Amino acid sequence: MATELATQSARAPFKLGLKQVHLPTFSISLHHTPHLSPSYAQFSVPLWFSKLDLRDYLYNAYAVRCVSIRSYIKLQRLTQGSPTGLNGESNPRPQYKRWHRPRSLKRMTVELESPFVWPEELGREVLDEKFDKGQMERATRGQEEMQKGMGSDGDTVVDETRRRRMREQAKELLEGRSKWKPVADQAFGRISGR
Amino acid sequence: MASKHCTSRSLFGSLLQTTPHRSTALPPPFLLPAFAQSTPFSTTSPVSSKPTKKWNNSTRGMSAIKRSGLNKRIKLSVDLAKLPRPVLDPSLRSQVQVDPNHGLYGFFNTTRDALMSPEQLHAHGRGWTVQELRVKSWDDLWRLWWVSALEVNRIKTYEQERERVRAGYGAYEAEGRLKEVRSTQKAVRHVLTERWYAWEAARVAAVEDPEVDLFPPSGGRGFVPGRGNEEEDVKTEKLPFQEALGSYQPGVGSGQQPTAP
Repeated sequence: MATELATQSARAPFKLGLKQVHLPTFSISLHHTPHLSPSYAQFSVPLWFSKLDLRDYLYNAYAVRCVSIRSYIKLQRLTQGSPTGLNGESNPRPQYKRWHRPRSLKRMTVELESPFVWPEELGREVLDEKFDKGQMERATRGQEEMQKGMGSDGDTVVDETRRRRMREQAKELLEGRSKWKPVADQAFGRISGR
Repeated sequence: MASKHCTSRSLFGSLLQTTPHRSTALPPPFLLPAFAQSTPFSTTSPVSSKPTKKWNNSTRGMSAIKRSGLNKRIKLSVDLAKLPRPVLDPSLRSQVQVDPNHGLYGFFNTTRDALMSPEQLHAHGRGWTVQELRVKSWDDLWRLWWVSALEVNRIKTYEQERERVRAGYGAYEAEGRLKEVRSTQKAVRHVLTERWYAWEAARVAAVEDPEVDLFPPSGGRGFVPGRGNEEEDVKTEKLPFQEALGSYQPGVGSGQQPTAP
């Protein structure tokens, strides 16, 4: 083990730390940053992470050499709701007046010795086929409209489709194209005894 | 352009320096006393004909904020008209050659997709159980832990990308995959903890056990069966303070009254 460390430190471009972490519990994720040059890679890291930690982690776990690292902490906006969900739910429900600021996020931008380009992005057809993007968009839109009607100014929401259908039905009745029928309610007659 | 102060001396001096024609060689005699003056008309000392003083500050007058441009003294090695221009059209730019063995491909799956579809994410088995891992060596367990750690990073990377692109579904499948990987890591930690407790219990028992020698000499055995049984062989050498006390044993009452010295 000592000889392994020695050979590794001889090859490392920087001075390796002495503290050995055998079973790390944290995780980092790579961001796709098309606005940055291929010489740069951005990561989401734990809030307690340092630049030296990231450099060491990338070198030991991924054999990636860094030239320089920049870090910044992204403050999260105030949110209504409990900080932690019940029974470990991932997205806790919003709760009125219970404000809190979620934990900040730390991002680090690394300048790479060798450039890296993200694999080619998937087209709209592939996303529709594999991820059902169209269905997701329709579902999201429907949910938003429903939530608008349930809000505090829900009575201002106008259903244009219903208005148009009502107008058409009225026109049909007046012109005699259709006949008026009572609303079919199966339980109505039985309950009242008629 | 050097500006000289105009004195009467300089004016008339220039007149005198011009090569006169023979007919108009000398000034009239009544003016001669004026030219013979040694003292100048002006009491102030004449301006020296030295060249103008060098600028102390070579960047005088140059301002990036005021957009003054460059001073005349500044000479650039590059001609402004011949500066390289950026290629604005991305399709015309040269492609970057990525090393096929780049370390950052560790954040992607084996087929190096930009995104993992829900089917791909769902195609996983169950995590390792504690029963299966109990028989594994430290090296195997350590490797398994790191394989799991890199997989967690991979899943999180793909999740982040899916949300950025707003691809669609896949959150549920990713969560399920992550759960299995984490359960493997938990099982590894469980097995290692169990082993440590077993080792600790053994160590505590070994301290009391006479058959176990926790600090054997080099080449010697830690377990010496029957070591504590032969008590006659065990001879306690008297320490210096015990020899000085002689037969006196502290804590044991002799029953005799202490004699006065």
